[in-house]
Amino acid sequence: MTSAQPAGAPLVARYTDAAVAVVEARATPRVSADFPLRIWSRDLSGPLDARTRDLSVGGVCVATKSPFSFKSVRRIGLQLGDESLELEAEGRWQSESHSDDAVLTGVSFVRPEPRHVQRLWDVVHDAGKQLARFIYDGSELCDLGADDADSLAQVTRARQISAGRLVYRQDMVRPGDDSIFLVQRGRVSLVSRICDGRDLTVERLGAGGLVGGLPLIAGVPNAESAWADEDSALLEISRSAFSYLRLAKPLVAQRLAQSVARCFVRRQRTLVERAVRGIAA
Amino acid sequence: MARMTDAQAMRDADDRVRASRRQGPRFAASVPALVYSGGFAGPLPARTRDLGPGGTCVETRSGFAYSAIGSVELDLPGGAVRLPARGRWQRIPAGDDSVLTGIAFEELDDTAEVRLWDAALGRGSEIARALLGRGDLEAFGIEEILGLCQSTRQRPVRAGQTIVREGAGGQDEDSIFIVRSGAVTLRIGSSDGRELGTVQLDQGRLFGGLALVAAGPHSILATALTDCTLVEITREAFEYLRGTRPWLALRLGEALVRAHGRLAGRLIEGAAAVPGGQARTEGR
Repeated sequence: MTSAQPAGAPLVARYTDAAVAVVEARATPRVSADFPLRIWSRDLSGPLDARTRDLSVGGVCVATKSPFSFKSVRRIGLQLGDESLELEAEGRWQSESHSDDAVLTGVSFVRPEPRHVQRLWDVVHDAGKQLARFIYDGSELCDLGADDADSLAQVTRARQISAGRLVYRQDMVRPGDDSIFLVQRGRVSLVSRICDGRDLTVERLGAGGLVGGLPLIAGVPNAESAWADEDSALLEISRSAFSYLRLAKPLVAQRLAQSVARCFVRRQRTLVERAVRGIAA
Repeated sequence: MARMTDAQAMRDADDRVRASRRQGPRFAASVPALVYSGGFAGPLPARTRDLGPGGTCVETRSGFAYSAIGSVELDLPGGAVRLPARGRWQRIPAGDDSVLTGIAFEELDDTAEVRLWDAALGRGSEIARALLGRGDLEAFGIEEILGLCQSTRQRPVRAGQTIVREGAGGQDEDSIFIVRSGAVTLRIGSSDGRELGTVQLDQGRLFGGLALVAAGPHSILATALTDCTLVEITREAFEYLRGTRPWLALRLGEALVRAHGRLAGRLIEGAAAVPGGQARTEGR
């Protein structure tokens, strides 16, 4: 751990501390995972039903339908198939996920028993392997190597989008809308509204399609809106995950950025062709 | 969704090897030079395209036996300096009517090394001043611009000369270019070869390089509208940047993607303004 630098500390020292904090926050793999979960809080009379979005040996990101006092979280029950794992826990943060009307809460495990840590490692490891195989074999990131796919799998989060819902909107960047997404299941349409008001469908993507991420790789809003045509499961690489990759695995970050850029360039070309030729969606 | 082919993998590996051999920074610099080679009775006039403390890239009108190079004289500020040197490679880049030769300096004394550093850093500062706060690199800070300048090569281009061809992605045509002076016309083509529109770029604008930052071929034909000076970041230099300053390589990729998005936006606006016609946008 690093010691906190005072506000008056040199910029480089403060920057280094911030970078170390980003890397340390993801010291263990955190993989996309969708398991049922129950939360016990000091403020609630009974348990609150939730689902995991990502899982690591140190904690979990959970999705609930409504907000609750995350600082009152004291225990969670994680349902792994037939097996239930009960762990002492503390809430760390909470934020809204606009695209699926969920509230996300970050929860850390408190002094987990060694047998629980072992079980969590196994689950995280197995889920990571499956995701890495999907990324490597069945996605638009397939030109990354197996090692890179493995690295990416370890910084992913699950996102469920109902049919007809928006994943992100063109020219707007709200927290969580700037992530890079891989379609794991379902279909997503990319629609761009051009300057004369026409909406042009740029692409329709199925499993493996790479979506979004322009705010992360180019610092500008996405050039199109992404809609779920059917109930879809997305694999998300968030801004904080990408920041971690940039610092800890810059070559993986570069290859990921290259893939996002390739998709963007291809779609821009399609968009220009359709706009110039007047082909409406 | 093609997986990287063996040929691509070999080319990537080759790039990494060449990049790792690159000896330190290289700044775009056009300095008069004389090449002394065992193959000639007298010196061969040349001009540098880049310059660094470890070596230089020179242009000549014709090819020669580069392996016979024994020394190079550079017309640096404060007087000419003759440096022991060895030729490393030679090629005729596509879209260029000069022959380029890579030269490594050998066993430099302290005085020569200081003068080289001063000259190279001086040229780097000039380019940085010309690009700072302008065009597509507007968001770059001084340190970033100076870092970028250490991986550049000067490319003079005559009016009408082709710089990048549609669909090309081969050596010397996959470089990233920054317009330092003059103007460049980009013609953007559709997937079936039809022209979608043209855009003019002037000082500070970026083009090319999609093969490097997006692993895809160019969909543009770039020609010089006027006599131009371009700052070029070759594949080799970009690989060097990736290895030594990965953050800066990402920032350059960001800028190039943004530039591409702006280009597409201008074409669409142009097409919307001219119903049924091609887009044609001028200025900037």
